[in-house]
Amino acid sequence: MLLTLLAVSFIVFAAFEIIPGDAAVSRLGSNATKETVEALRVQMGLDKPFIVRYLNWLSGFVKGDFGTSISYNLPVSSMILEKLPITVTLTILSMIMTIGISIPLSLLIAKYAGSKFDRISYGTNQFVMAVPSFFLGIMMSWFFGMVLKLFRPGGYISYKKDFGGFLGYLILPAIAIAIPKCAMSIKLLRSAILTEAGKDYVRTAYSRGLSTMEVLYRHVLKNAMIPLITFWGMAVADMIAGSIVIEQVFNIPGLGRILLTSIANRDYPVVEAVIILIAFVVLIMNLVVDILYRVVDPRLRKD
Amino acid sequence: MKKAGLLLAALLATMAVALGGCTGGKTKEASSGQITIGIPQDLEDGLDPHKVSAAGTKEILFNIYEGLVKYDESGDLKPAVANAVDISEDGLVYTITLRDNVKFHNGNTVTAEDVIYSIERCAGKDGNDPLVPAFSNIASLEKKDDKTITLTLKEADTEFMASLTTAVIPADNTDPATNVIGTGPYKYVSRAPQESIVLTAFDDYWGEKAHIKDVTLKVVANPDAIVMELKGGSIDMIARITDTQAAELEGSDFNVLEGTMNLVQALYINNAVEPFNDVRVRQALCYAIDPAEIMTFVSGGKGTELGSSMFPAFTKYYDESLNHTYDQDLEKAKQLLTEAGYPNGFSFSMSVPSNYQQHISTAEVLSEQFKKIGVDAKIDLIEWDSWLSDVYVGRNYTTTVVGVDASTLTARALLERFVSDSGKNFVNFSSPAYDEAFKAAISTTDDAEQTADYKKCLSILSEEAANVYIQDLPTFVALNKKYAGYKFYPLYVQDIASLYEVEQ
Repeated sequence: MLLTLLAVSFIVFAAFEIIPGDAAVSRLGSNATKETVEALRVQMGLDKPFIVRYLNWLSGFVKGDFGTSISYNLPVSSMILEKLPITVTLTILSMIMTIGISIPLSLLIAKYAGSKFDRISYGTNQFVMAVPSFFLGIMMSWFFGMVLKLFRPGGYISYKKDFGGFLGYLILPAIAIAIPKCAMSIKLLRSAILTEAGKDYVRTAYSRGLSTMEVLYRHVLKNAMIPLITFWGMAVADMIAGSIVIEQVFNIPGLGRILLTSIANRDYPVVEAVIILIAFVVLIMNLVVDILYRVVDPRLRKD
Repeated sequence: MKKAGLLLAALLATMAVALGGCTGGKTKEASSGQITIGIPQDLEDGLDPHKVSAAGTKEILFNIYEGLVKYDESGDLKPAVANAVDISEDGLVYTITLRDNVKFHNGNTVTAEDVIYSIERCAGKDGNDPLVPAFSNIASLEKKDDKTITLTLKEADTEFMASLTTAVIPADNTDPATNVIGTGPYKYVSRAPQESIVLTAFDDYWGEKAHIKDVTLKVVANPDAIVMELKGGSIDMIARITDTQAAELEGSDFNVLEGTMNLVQALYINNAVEPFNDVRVRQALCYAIDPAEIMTFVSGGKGTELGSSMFPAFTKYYDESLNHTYDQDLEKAKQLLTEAGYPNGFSFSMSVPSNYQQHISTAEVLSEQFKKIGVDAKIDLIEWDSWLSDVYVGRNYTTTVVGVDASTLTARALLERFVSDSGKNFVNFSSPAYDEAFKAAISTTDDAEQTADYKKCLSILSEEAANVYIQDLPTFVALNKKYAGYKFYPLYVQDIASLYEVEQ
């Protein structure tokens, strides 16, 4: 795991070495001449060889010093800590929606498998799955903001000022993220439920006199969830990494926005920290998925 | 002794100040109300007034910091922290008298020490390059009494006054980037990166106080969301919207005000590379294009045609006849190309920064127009940072479409970059006649002579076809009908203090 993070940090650093432009040029803008750029590079320590800069940064990072943002002159850790709650809340909201909608809906669809309802929902599902979140986001802010006037586009409220207002603003973006994920979950869950429903223990459960809904909720669901856990684990990582797009659409000043502008400004301490954070979340989610497997499937606990 | 005001007065004529349709009175004396203004990017280069370079940052800091003198909306320098600046006959000694009772945002009164500290901080005394290049010309800076300072120059510089717009900060403020204290009509309250900056009116301001009390500058990073944010009520004002966005706001709660961007948009040519090192090839390109057609396509016919590196806001130097040095003449263009040895045309690339739609659209029209003389121009979109490092600093390009503005309101800011050995001469223009005319302009103390020399520089740029000059782009400001009083400045300034609420 540490090796993966190390490799990620090195690749990001190397990428900054390869792409043209650097923080000094970016800071100077049209005042840049060869002399002023050189002087500022020396001042910022950008004149040192690549490997020296990388090792300096790495030794600081390991000691918990994430460095100082080149453009904001603020400690990177405090910048990220301020932005993290925004993206995390958005992800949690979208996850709650994804799980909360997809489980009952797929059970319902599975119950009526083969009926007209099943076929219609299958078609809708395929369609919704193909709609990207950012497009949904744009359509929703237009519809709820301009037509129904229920929502103020760009009216983001800081969580420090008014947490309720903050949550309220995040509902639409969360729906935009959740809907395509829901569609995917329903597709997976429906087929898993149907596979499970054909198994012997289900017949046994029916023979004990349980109703269809009881059988599905108490017995089938637990087994059918196993493939879903992997998908949801990946979805969380995807939501955090993919927050860039939806934050741009809804003008939410979260992690994605910081990442995007920092790349444009060649503010490598911030970019490094955000990307490592995302990589870390992906790795942690993998771990969580493994643990959840054991919780759901007792057979795995033996080894 | 002559008054400084006179010396630099009438630098620029009054700009068309388009006020909104509503004409409510501004009756309230005390500041009240609030406004949310959208800004296209955060103030990413910080809040240290001496170190920021982005135009988008400077235009906001104008409200927080002031120099000894400051620009008004017609581009004239007016006394601010100073009450008067007198210049000796030989142009070497500046006697600065401070205005009484100018207060910093921390409540202290501005003293001669504060002014000396602020100027010295920018004069490169610590061995670094001076933050304000003109200050390297200062021979001595002395305090005569609490309210008077004498500043002596090494050599006369008629444009030195413009550098006294440098912000005055408290002498004990070693870190202005985090400790934001100025003397302007607004004081800094707080900021959240990529989110917003909050300002509030300064009650002890020496001049006319701001009308609107609370100002939130909200970062609107996604240009496609601007119209929705305006209509949805998230922002009350935003500057520099496109003409398409302006059209979308018709019939809404917003007034759209029109001004000019005050920059020189051109196809800038690397004069040092083949085939553009041949003046005939550059002239052929000039004959091939039609700025009117570009303006129609790019901004619905709005904009002002340019023929050299000067925009009309500088009435003193702008010469409209230069727009006609090369009226579109395809035959002549082809003939010049044949003479230069390219009877069948040639191909080249135009590097265009991908974040400026106006420049991209312009390049698209240019490419079509060049086809008519058999020249094939390909468009290379590059990221802004790559543009800065490869094109601007590295000069590793053939041609590029951008707009060049004046960092200070002087002809020098626009014209110095074309001197052969200038560090900012990114087009590698080289003309001994130009160098001579420019040198004459900056060394004379006679105003009429200087104007004539600068005009000569401009006609050389035009005749030598240093670049293919196109236009000064139009700009639009959207302002909610609840507010009025917006003023266009001939340089990057958003004067928030002049806005007021319209009584409805």
